[in-house]
Amino acid sequence: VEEVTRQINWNVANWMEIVLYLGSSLGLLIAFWRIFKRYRVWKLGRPSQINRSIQRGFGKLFRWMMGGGKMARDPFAAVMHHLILWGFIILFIGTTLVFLEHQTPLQFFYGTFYLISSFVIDLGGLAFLVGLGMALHRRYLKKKVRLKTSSWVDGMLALLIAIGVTGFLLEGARIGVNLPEFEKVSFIGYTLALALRSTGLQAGDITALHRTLWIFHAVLSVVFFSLATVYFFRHALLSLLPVVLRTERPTGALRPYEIPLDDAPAGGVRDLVWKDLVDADACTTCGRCTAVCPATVAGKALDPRSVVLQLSDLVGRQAALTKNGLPSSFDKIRDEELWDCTTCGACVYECPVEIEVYDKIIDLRRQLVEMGRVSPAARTSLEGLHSRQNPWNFPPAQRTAWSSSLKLPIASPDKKPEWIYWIGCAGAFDSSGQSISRSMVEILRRAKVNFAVLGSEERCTGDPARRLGDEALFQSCKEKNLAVLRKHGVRKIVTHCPHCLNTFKKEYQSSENGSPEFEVLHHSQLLSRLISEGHIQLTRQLDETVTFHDPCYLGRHNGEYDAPRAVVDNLPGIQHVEMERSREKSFCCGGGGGQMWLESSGRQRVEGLRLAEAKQAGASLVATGCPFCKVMLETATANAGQQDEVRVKDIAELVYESMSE
Amino acid sequence: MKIAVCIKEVLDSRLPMQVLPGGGEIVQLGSDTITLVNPADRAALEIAIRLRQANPSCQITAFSVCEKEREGALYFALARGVDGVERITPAQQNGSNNPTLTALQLALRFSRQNFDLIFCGDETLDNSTTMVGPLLAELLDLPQVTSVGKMCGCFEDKLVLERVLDRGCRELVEVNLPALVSFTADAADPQYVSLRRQEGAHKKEIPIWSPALDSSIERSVRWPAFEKVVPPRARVKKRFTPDVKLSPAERVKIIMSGGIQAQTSNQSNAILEGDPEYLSEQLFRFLKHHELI
Repeated sequence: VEEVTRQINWNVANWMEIVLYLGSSLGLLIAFWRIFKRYRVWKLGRPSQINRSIQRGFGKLFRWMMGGGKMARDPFAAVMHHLILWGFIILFIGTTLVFLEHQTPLQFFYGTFYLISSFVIDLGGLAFLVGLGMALHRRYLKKKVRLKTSSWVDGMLALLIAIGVTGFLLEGARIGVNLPEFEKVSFIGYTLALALRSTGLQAGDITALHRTLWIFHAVLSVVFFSLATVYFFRHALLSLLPVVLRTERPTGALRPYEIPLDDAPAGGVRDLVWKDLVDADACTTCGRCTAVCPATVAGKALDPRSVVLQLSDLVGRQAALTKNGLPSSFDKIRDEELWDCTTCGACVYECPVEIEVYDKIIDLRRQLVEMGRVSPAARTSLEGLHSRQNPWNFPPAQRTAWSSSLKLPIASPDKKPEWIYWIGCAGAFDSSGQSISRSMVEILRRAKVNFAVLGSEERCTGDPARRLGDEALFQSCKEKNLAVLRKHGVRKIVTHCPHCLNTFKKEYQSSENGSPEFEVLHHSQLLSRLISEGHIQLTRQLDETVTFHDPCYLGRHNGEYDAPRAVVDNLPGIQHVEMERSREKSFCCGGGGGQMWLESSGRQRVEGLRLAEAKQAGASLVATGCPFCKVMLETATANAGQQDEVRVKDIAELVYESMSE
Repeated sequence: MKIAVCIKEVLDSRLPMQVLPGGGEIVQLGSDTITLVNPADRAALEIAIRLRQANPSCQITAFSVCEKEREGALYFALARGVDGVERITPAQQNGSNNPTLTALQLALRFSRQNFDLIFCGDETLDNSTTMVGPLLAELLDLPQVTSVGKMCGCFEDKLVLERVLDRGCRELVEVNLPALVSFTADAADPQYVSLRRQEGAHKKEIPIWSPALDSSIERSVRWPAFEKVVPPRARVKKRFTPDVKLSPAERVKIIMSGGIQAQTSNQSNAILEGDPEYLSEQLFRFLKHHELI
């Protein structure tokens, strides 16, 4: 009876073995050295806080590797990646077992254990090759547009496939020499062995073939080891870093910008946060961020993936630097790319490896601002925000003009209302926004809500300043607003502006240290509560087909999708339809991130694309919960000459409309 | 090359204003005082900075005749990157609003130190006397180029400048250095200065110079005080908005014609017939009548 085991390296000369071990070590050393050079560059980056414990980070990594990550949103890609990954891991373990059996006194590769491992390893090899086949399919047959093709990628796929195929052929040749019965468990190897035999090759020929294949397979593996950390390949290794390191900072809150006052940032690696450099190197180039980016879709200059990859390129350039010199990200990233971002957060939501994409764009904007490289429109609104306390440059005295006939209760330190209704600059100065404020005031009055406004004590929350990159201006707005809110002892704020909501909730107070200083609600949340508790009766039939456009700062950044929909569903006589992209996948109106005050470039306008989607859903009325979204979509209807066909309303206006008899 | 830039922090007079009875003090309505660097001065500062970018040997010093509480323009200039600043205390209370005194003080200062170029804004947002620059040039006996809208060239010993004249005319002039140049607010798109840099500039100390003017001169310089500002009489303004139903081209035509087409639409159109001489004469009269030529 044959012994159930495997003869290892029976057909390989000693020197060949030594060359393999030396080659592999050298390859791994080269791969390691390449990463080490990049690691040295990462260390040059600015410090940044990672407020996540290592255990939780690894817990997340485990879930992610088990298929619980965001990759699953594209099932084909997820299956493909998991087949390749797990196939590779199994093959790697298999090879390690062979090595241990051969080179150490351990003896375990016999009997049942051998049979099971042989089967599993064959299965792994199959998974590996099937995964690579899927990769070929989506790259070259389906030609998925978001994927970035390059000869590097083509070559690497070819290398991996060659390693997989030669591995199986090698196994087939090994089994083919003697064709032991028990090797049937290596179902692919055995089949290949039979196929070899059927060609009429004799045991001697197969032995020679085995030796040739072995050399070929060994050379390919050494090449693979040495290339394991180059562009694109390295994502297999590095992409786990952003998964572990992703902060628990909510997406709506931008990170602080702390640079010494004497520093003049210029986009070099020392001016960037180290985490951003790591993220950039970990990018898988999958292009999901680019596929959903409203600026890219509208044909503007911005392509978020390219920004990330340019940062990675910067790391490479810095790493290759021998003499003094300062490569800057602005060598290759154009200013207008950075100014096109709406901070909608779709890129961060989509990124399968948790890269915080738009944080990098904002960080670079901050450096542009420091350098004074700001467009005239952005300058006007930032200077207006600084001196006149609103980005529209309206005289501050005009802030309360909209409500002069309404006799609004104004908060004072001795009179403490339950709610402060925060109007915001759009609600106070912009005619479209004023209509929301008026509706809201009427609703609050009829629902007998005990509220007051801050009147002329309000000033911009600083959201546009922060997103346009002037962090100090934001901090000064924050200080002044917090002082006013504290003076009045404010505990509960309701606002109809998701940008104000986000700033109050996420950027004025951090959720970590205990209970928040004040509660902030979006008006949709208060309205749905008032409706469900019966404080407002909706009687008038509206007779419209309504779709709700999710504002980015309400939905993606603050997770509120249901309250506004509950309000819409309670409107009598309406038919509620959803757009193709809604909730988490909602498409931006094009007005966030300071875009409200910037010039628009590109083939198309973002708001026009969104309006087309609403029309496609058959809506006669687009409801939204943000004054910026409202203005942007209204502009889109006017630009398309469709003011009569599609109306744009805030949910508060709709509630008010259906309240009045 | 040494450049002096004269700047001033002014009340943002594009906001609603009021002149208080008595002292003639001007205040803004309904808000805390909002000031800014006078736009024309900021353009002059910007052009000086750009000259230095092209020619790093330039030295820029910013001067402002103002009280301590109005020295913001100097901090701004520091944040924008000038090499030095100096505050000159006004000779009298509210003396910074008196162009003659301001020019006298600046002249005294510049006679102590030679500058190759003196840059000013051509007018301020507050009093808009447009006098400081010309007076200063006369006092220093320097050639002056006023209302410059564009810097066309800078050479070792001369500048090429484009002046903005009335009715859209432009004048290209050449001036030998040293000279005084006053710029319009549109002469340069000023660069944004982040609040962080502005706050950083506030950590620096501003040197002060308090000149004593000859008291007889000082007394002889009179300047009227404000009594009252009379806003234009409120008139019912006919707002013209083109009909949305018209094609965009039609709407543009109407807007460009100032609504003439719309206003005349209820009048009957005249159709003229006759020989070419008669027709051209009629056409000419029509155009002349409507002040179109």
